[in-house]
Amino acid sequence: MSFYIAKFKRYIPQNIKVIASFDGYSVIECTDYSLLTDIQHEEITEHEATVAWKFYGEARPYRSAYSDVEGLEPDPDQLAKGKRKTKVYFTMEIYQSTVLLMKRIFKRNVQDIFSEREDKTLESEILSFIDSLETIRDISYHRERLLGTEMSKSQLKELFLWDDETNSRIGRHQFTLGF
Amino acid sequence: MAFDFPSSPSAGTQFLNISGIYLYDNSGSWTTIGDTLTSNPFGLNPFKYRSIYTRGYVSGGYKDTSPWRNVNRTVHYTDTTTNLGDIMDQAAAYTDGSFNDYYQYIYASSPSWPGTGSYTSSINMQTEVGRTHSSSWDLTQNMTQYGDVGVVINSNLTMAWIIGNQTLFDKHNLVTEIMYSAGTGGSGGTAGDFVAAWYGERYGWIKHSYEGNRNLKLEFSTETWSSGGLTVGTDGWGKALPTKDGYAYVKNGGNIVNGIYKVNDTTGSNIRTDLTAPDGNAGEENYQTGQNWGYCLGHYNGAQNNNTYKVTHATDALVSLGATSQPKGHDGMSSAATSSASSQFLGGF
Repeated sequence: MSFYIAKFKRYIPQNIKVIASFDGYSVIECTDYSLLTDIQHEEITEHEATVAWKFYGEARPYRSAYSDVEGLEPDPDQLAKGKRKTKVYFTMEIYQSTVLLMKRIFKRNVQDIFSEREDKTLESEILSFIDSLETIRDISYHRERLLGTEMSKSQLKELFLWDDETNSRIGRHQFTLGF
Repeated sequence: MAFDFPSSPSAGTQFLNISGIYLYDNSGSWTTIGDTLTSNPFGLNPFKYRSIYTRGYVSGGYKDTSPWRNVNRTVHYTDTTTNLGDIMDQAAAYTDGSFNDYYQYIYASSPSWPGTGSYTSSINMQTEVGRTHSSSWDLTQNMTQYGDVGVVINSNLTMAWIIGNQTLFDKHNLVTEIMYSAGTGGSGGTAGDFVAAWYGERYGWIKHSYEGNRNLKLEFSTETWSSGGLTVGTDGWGKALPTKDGYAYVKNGGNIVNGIYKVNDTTGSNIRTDLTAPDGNAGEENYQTGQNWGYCLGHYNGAQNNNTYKVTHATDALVSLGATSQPKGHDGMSSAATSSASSQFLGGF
């Protein structure tokens, strides 16, 4: 079984299993490599495609999951309230895989933009910079700055970019390219 | 039947008879330019053709505990989705919405997750800007717990009924834009968070069972509620795609399942029970109604995402779509509000 990130513009072939789509790229499972001919893609690890994608952009130290759906130990407090959710905390392996997956898609998007430009002046500099990022928070912050993909409210609060009095973001977010 | 065409026509002469409209052209012959025998589709099926849905909007939603404020427009002819930016006046998680021909309403919007309360946001679908808030749009009661609501809209888009984790329904007059309290919905059922709702020409349908239980049918013409008798398995977390073709596509379970039932929107009976989403188990779908096909624009399948698929009514085909069609501006969203808009209006109220 092989896993990829791939950017399909229109329809995704039925023989390809879509796991999740973020930032224009889909995390996919694909056994017939010929289906990816002429499709921008990159092979990823099984861990990225089966575990890390669920933590994509996660600014908290955990994600919430349905214990019964994912075969996890139920959270007794939640269960007592009739809820099925439990917390799945990052491990070092999950964190590193999530960072790797987010960096791959971040870089791919930057490359896609430069592929339509004649002036490639900043491309290698930006790609090297993305390579140097080591945390999900840093990736999310710079992805917002460079690609316009909005970061989470929890991260905005950490960065003092959230006004608790008005319960709104300080300043208006611009969904535009930063380069 | 033979017709006597004008004996001395000149180029540009038009001739109308029961079989068609003809033009005498420069080549010296009669050309058919119109067919008077074709029925006006509006007259045959005004529910489907009073307006032609050409695009839609998906507004708010959330990922993890982050509610979004942006709105994405999907052009149905090209399957193209474009981020319009943060045009809502405030974010909305666990929401649902209604729409008339001009405006979308997003109920229980809140910049706090999970988004409870009574506030209603609205965007202008013709100018694609957020509207200045009016308290007359607001729900008459606070939606509590997660504040997830379900909405049904009548056939000429003049009235919407909203229910969440409350015993009473609200009724939103989409002409005057005033919100009313609308009673318990007949025998009602118990209050509960997470509602699946859909609607057709004559009836609206409400089903939830995650917390509390409702299985109801609303006859729009009389505003009469009765038991829905629905057997589709959604508990409210699995959502529904209404159509203008006499049925809805409804998830057959809660978070998270793959099965989809095609449910007759007049009788509530199941037309098909063998459909599946193309991208596996999911819930909290952002379904958007279209004229001949609809979309799922993001859902939850272990994480909120921008997975997008298209549901073609004529074939019941469910096909995953790529980057052009997917929502943008964030890492994914579920439980957003969707609306549909028209460029052409063939009929009035």
